[in-house]
Amino acid sequence: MKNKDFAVFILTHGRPTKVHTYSSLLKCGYTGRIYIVIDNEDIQAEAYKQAYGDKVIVFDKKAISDTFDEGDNFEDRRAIVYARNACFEIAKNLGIKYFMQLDDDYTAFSYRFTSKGKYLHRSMKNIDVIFDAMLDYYKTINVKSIAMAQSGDFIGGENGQFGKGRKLFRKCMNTFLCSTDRPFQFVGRINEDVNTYTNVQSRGNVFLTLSNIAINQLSTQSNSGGMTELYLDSGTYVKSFYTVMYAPSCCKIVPMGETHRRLHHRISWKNAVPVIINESHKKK
Amino acid sequence: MSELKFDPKNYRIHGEKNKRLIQKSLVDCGAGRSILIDKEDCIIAGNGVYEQAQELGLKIRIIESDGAELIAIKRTDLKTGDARRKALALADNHTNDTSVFDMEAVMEDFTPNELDLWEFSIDVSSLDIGVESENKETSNNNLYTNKITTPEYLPKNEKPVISDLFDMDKYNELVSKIEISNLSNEDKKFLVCAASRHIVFNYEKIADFYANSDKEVQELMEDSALVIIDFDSAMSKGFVKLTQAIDEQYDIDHEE
Repeated sequence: MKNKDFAVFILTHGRPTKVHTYSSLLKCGYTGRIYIVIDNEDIQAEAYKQAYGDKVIVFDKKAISDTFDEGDNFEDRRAIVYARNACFEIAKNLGIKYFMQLDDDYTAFSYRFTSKGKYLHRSMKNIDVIFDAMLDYYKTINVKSIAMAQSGDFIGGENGQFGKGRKLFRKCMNTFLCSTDRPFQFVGRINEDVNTYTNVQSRGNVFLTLSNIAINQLSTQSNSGGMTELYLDSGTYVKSFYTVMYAPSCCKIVPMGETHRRLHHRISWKNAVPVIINESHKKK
Repeated sequence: MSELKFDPKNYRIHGEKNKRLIQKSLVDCGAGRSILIDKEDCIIAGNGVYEQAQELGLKIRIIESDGAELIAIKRTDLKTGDARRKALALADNHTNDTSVFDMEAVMEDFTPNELDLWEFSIDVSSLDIGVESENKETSNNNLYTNKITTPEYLPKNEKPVISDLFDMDKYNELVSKIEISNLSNEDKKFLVCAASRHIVFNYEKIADFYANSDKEVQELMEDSALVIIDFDSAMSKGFVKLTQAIDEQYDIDHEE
């Protein structure tokens, strides 16, 4: 890594033998610092320490929970939002200015376009260069966070919104590249990413996602019928309401699907976040 | 007969457990419902079974069909009450249940609407993409595009009227209810303040208004973060530079 003031934080809980992201990073040639971020309520903490030694950072989950709005009173802290918010303080304590939050279930980091702009899916072999390029970009622009796309963004392949070309989108999920100089707070116990990029952006901040590159996550099958489907659908339903709570003027619950009816949130973007315009429109 | 070809985009993932069970089924019960191939000998369904059948060295017989008939395989060695037949019925279903969909492959090949017609659930929680549906580009058939797009809004030359910039309907409705309530003034004050969360701003119209306003109004709008100015086109220029760096590394990684 050219940028020495950078580290990757892998946020994980309860599965020390399944931190896929760690090996995926190494497979892609990552040579920078990696920290495994776990919470003090994790009964697998010792196993993490055995596997990753001094790379393991433990944060106080309850203490963090008192610093931000969870959006409910459930006292159920089985969510990633606590680790997401803890990262800023952890980075400060480690003397790191820039960090990227990663989940633990990434199986690959991929290019999504050739250098000629053709849509495809090829693995990265030197992610140091990619991270450095992302950091160089991040440092030159006034945004809260930037992220890589995720495989789910590419639904519809080359005909989908993300597959059509190399673009910036004003969302941010999974791979938050952050700085201790640009703190922000994740809100809501569930759907914290959507809650945050709508809520924080509504006040004139910017989050961006690049479609050029993406993470691949472990496949989760949500089509196995019975209770699984019911759980997933109701889970999506409950999840969606968190964003409605935080952004009632631009987010609503809508039924989706003609055949398989279910509820989901829909964000009206023109009502959600101030638009970005060129400096030429500003009167001198 | 030419060798059968595995589906390059198999929608199913066959983990170790699934492979083990398919092999056990073939060994214990013999071949079951068999597999499906296309006219180019590429497997449509049964990639996992074919893989294990190859390992076991099973012979393959091809029955041709145009899909207008249902082909029933008659297992002449099995009777309805046989234990082996019961095991095959279990294995046939269980081996299917122990493989999973490769959601990425499925999502790349089908639109949400197409999947919906098959009542195929996907978690679409990540599909808010930060772009209005009415702003979506029309699909072009050119798969090669060097166009690099940033989410910059181009304001219109016409200044909208103030009433177009925001919608107070929901706010007013809430405030009316609060005002006729028997709550204390302090409670009312808080609820009225909270009701402002329901004022719907139209940020595109706001940008149109900004672009057609004088310097003083613009500065106050900037103070309120009603528009975001991409100074010196840093976001756009930087993204072009970032894309170039990614492209260069792609060429190194994949020797294009």
